[in-house]
Amino acid sequence: MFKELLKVLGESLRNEEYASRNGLLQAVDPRFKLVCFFSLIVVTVLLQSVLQFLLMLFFLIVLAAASRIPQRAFFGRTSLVLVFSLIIVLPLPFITPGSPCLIFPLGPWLLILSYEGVYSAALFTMRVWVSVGALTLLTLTTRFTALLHSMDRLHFPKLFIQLTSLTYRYIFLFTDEAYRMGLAREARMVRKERIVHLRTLRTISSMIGTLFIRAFERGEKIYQAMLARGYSGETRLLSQLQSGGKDWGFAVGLLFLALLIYFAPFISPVPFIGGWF
Amino acid sequence: MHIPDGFLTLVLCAVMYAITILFLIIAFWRTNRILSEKQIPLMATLTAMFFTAQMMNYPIIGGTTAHLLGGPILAITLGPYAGLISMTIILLIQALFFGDGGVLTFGANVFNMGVVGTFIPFLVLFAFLKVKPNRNSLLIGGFLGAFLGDLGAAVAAGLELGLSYPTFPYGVSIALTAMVIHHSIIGIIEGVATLVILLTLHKARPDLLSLKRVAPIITGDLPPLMEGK
Repeated sequence: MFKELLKVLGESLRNEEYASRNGLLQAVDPRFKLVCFFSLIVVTVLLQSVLQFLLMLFFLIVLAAASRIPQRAFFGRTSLVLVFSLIIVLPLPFITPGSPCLIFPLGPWLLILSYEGVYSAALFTMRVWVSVGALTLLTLTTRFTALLHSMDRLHFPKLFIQLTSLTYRYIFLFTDEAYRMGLAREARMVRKERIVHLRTLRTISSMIGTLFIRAFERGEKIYQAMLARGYSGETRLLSQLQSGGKDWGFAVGLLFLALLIYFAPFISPVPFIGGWF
Repeated sequence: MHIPDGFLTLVLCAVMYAITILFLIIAFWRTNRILSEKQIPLMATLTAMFFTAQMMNYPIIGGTTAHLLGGPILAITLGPYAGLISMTIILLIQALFFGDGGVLTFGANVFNMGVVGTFIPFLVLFAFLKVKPNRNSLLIGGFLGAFLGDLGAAVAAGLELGLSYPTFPYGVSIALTAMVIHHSIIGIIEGVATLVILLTLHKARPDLLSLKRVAPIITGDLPPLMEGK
């Protein structure tokens, strides 16, 4: 149960590495990226056919490749939500009424998969997968601090930005602390707990209680340390965000291609049939 | 509980954003007035701590796991509005850094876990302490508040999913039933965890249970705990 904590630390280190690679998306101003990807996800949610989703997915894969994000990282991050949505749509082909497309004999019964059910299951899964893919691409190519910085420049509330950047910094500290507490607890145990769930629940909860107290005490110390360094309730940032022609070019190109995919059924010389294509 | 992008219709996403932003405006206004800059690092460390706590999974029977949401305990210690801000930050980092939840559904997620998930526990505990401000009310009210808060958040999520039909392939009746059944188990866990954390705090640092809270104007702060029988 403490392994997740280590995974988080490892994953965030890898994120930093991907975000500092010399690729297409990494070079774009994070403000532009934030707005562009938000619009891209809006367009994705509005798509109506499986072929459009495939086109969008292909577009994302090309962007990932141009940003030197390994395919494994991109698909690995999106696989969890893919499996989750597949489980959700699993009953759909059987319960949706419509023309049968596959019939399995199952003992004395017949298992009938309807065409409409399979279609709506595919549509839902693809929509979720592609929108999550777009968000993943944004997070893999942008440092979290850069995203926060651009939110600040896009006039999000100051208190919110300040709190978030402080919180982000301390996540790693507490993750490390919680992991050490868990390790110490396991070291004190005579045998591995298996079935006694209630006791596990109690131990973890009281650990969280202890962590809470430590967090509180740390918060007081941090404030004093900040005061000693001249904190006056305002944060000043050193780095400047600069946007230029290439950022506008990127934004226009990305949105043009997204809209092209959206309008594809109306401008395609080959008719899109049956919703699938 | 974290609804990813693509589950909800755009119109519903926009409506949930509008409702959540309304709550957030009030929350920032109240927090700026009540908390001084001294509390900012404190709120940040507590938020970071609950982010960590959310990653510690409890095994439940059947091989599945559940984790703490943290909303109830944040609402009890910092007040529901400050709890809402903390939950917003947690959800933002989860969405933008770990891909848990989405950006279009962000408003809905904040509403479920940050608004419903903090205000219900606060109000339930408020009612309990109003009747009898002792340790037992704190523990029972904390447990029940956390349970009902989790259930309320699940009901809100189920309704949002169901109302998104046909973008979400099931209607209100199925979505709501599934969410409520699942989260009545998770709610009990959240309740027990909240109770144990309250117990730890009450024993080790009872002063942490009487911090300055950002509470709604109508109810005011929680009644102070009376010690001794």
